[in-house]
Amino acid sequence: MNALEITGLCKTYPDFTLDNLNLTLPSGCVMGLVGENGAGKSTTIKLILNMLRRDAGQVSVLGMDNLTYDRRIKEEVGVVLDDVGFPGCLTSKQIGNILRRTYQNWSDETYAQLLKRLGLPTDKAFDAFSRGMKMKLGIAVAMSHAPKLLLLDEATSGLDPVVRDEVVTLFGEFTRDENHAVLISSHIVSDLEKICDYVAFLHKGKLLLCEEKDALLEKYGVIRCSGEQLEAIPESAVHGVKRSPYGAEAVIEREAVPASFSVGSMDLEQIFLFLIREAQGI
Amino acid sequence: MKGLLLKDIYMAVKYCRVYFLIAVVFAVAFVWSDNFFLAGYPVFLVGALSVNLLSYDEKCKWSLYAGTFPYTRTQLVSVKYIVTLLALGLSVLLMGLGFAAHMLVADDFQLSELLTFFGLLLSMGLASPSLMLPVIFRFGVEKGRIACYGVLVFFCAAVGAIGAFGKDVGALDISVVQSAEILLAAVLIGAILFAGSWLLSIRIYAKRELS
Repeated sequence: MNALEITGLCKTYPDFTLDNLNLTLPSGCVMGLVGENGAGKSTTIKLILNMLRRDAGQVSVLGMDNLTYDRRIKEEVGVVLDDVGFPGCLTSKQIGNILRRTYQNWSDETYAQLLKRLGLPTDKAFDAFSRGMKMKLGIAVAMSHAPKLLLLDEATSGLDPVVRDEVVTLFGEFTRDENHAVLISSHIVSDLEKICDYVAFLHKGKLLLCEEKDALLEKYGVIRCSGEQLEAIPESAVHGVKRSPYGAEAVIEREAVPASFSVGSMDLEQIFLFLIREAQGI
Repeated sequence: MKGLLLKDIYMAVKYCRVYFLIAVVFAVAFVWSDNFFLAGYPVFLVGALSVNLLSYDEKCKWSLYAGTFPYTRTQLVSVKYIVTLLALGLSVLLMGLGFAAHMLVADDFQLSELLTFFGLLLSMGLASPSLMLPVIFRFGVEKGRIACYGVLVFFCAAVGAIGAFGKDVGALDISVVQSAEILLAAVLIGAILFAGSWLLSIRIYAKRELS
């Protein structure tokens, strides 16, 4: 079963349009939603959760239509937004008391374990937490009601590298269960590279591509060559060129490049940047 | 829903306890005073408690975050009305005790006057949140604040008008509304206004985008 299926999703604002988004996230997988600020990542997550009204399209979460089964879906989904919005006066303990009465599957034991593991105090007011601590509490809350799908909107931003690594490990452990899935949006592409099985690139409300991460890393490579050498490569296989007085650096599809070229590997961030430049016609 | 209610109770205890303190002080002061304002003002304040809670919700982005939890929009609205009713009930009861003590001190206890007093306060207390909450749910706290000021002016005028029925402006004389029909009508109007406001807020919030 697919954890998430988005078909033809559209949402128009005066200055932004999420245009005909199609995404499929299989269970047991992690999908990274990559895009610059304003690309439509948060809008997509809010549309999945019915926090915004869509103009067109369909969203199915864990096999259920998100309009028909809104509450059931939210029982099964853990969400971390870029701002964890608990009232500042509440302590972690009080938040636990509230959420025990909110989720049918809430587990005090899991919550206590996560608080301990993430080093969060139970009796300190939320207002006194650092941004990283707030985010960690949001993550603990999202994972304490046995969710099957995690929707994480910039959940690792604002965290220091040590905590980010810890949190990314936590998400990795979560997806060891093949019934679990994660959709994580971020512009810290290195985090996504660590845990994602699929990567979707959004740019100005349009999906540039959605592929398996390993296939993507295998498919694309970078070459450094002269302008003349670049001419020898079919235009359709070149996805972005950076020219300098010393030659050209280009992102290419490995299969279309003659064997005489030395093709270097790329990371997701490089691919993402080249694809954005290509989309912008730079 | 229980979770939402508990969250608002935690917040009310932390942020709004001063309102209840004012209510206690005014209730005690009311024992030896004829000024209806002493009874009406705390009820008005407590009636506006939900507006204050909504203001805190908006400030900490709970209004947005709550959309990720398994609550319906109806529940998110209804909890504010339920909290209003609880707080209002508590403050009216407190003021009623003050008024009962007032009559006992004056050696003039009359149950009909006490019931009238309860009815008057309740209908007044229901009016202010009924007017404010739909505006806040529609426009948010910042923009909706203007409506709150309007209600405050309306409330002060209403208290003044009630006082004006008495011998002196602001003096306690509720005998003019001791007719059961008038009292019943006042309470009914308050209840209908409150129920209408509740339904209207649910309708408004169902259409609102949480962004």
